[in-house]
Amino acid sequence: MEILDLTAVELGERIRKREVSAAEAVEAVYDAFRERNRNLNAYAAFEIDPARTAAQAAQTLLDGGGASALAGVPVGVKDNISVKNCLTTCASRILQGYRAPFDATAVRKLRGAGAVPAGTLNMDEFAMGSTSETSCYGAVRNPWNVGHVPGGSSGGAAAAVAARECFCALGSDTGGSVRQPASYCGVTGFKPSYGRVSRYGLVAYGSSLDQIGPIARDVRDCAALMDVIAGADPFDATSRTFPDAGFLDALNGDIRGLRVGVPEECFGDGAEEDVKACVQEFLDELRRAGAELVSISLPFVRYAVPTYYILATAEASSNLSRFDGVKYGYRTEHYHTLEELYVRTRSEGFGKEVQKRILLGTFVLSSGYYDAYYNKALKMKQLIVDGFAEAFGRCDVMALPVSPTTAPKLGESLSDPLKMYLSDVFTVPANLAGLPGLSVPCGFDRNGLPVGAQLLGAVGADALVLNAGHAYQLATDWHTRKPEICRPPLGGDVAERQRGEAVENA
Amino acid sequence: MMTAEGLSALEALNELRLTPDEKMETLSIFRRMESYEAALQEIPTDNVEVMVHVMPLANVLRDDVQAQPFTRESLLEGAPEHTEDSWQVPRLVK
Repeated sequence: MEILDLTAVELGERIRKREVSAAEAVEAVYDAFRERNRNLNAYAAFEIDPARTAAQAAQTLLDGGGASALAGVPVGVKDNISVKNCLTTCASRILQGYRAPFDATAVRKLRGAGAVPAGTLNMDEFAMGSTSETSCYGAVRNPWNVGHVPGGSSGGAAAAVAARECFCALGSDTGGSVRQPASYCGVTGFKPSYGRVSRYGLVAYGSSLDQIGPIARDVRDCAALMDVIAGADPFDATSRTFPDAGFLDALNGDIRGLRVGVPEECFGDGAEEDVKACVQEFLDELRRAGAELVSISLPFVRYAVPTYYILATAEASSNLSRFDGVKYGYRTEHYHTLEELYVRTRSEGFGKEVQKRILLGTFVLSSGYYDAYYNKALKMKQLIVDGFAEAFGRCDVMALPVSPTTAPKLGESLSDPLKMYLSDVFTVPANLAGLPGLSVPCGFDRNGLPVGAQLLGAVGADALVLNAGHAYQLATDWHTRKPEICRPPLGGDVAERQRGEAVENA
Repeated sequence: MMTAEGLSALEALNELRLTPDEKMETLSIFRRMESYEAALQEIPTDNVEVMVHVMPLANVLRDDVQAQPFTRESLLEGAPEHTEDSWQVPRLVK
């Protein structure tokens, strides 16, 4: 078996047994980046020197007896999570050349556990998008068919994990940005409960919604990453330590008697037939493993998208006001006054989708519209939280699709952004209510594109959600499938053929 | 309803300048966003409290101890233009 086919936990075991070194693991990922990145554009950058230095530090830790499950394992990091002295650009021209002077807490914890931050992963600019097409580095492509998007905003992370260009990665999820690309790329993604993982060092988009989460080949890898990155942090007042711990150890695969709520609204006309069929099979498998399926109702789901886009854009307009071309990043070449410097820098530095969301956010916060939009959305958030609380009185976890469709074709979504926003209908409720959410692969549509099923839990029930996903993966092998593009010689011929088909079909 | 003048005011507030084509496109998005507001108005919320955070939050204050998490040099390294010890911007006062 090629080293890149190992899961992160399997690689960690090999490293602890001295069958593979941390240096060999990082070189394998770097080789994959150099040979394959042209196919998918999954990486924003890969600076090998700091990765090699981190691998040496990890090996020293291992040699001294430090042996966490992920010691020596390279971990890709989304381009909006700060890695000290490395490029951290949010896939935006306005952060061109910016090197973070500090590690995000999640990255610091990775290093502490001996894991090796290796490569920054492409994404939608400032995490604003569901397709990874708004990046200043160009669109990321789906490894199952390069004519399709990988989802977003953590599309580079999901594509790289699926295509065996890295073992596992850290993404961020504000409205589904870990779970939806994981679903589109046939890998596993987990959004923790809000506050479970420190946001310090994550470049803010919607601060009340943002959460760092793992993208990996299976639930075990996600649990191992959670063991490392979870916990309260003095640098993030919204972070906290929940009473449970040991996510990997808690995976016993026993879901006998688990009450799985099935929201009737999520299986209606909005979802594609193939998606519904795959998720129905997912439910049947949970039942065969001993779970009890319970029909529930989430009547507020249809209001989640408007609520989300009002709140997220409002927070974004505030958070992104700090980028002005003075302290770091891009500065326009053409200015005489400070005002000109600000306006030209921001207009040239931010992409169209980001500018649009900043303007929308300022609009919903402006006098005369504040009550009708922002305040109303905050009240809807309360109703959504209450609705989930009521539903979790009848079930332990919920199961639903991640997205109503499989991955759309490249270019299809940006022409109609409001339609793209609607595709987030099943993921944004978890962010609004701060719930943990897991995306696991559960089949393929008639075109060979992956379908994902989603499990949600009450706030703090992260381990329960992960264990339910683990039980499913013990009984199925969807998470072990790999795209044709991974086969030797490095998938270039497959990518060329799929690009040709995409052009022909267009 | 959002107007061209209203959009110009938002551009000014955000230090942004859209091209005429971008203005047209953004205006059309704004008009469609108004359907979001209409959708939310379907639900009565007069007696509902606003929820800013999903969890109870308290201000966390660290001990008032002097520290230097970053050196001046490390922060200036990322600046597009800087002097020996400061960020550099165009002259404000003539």
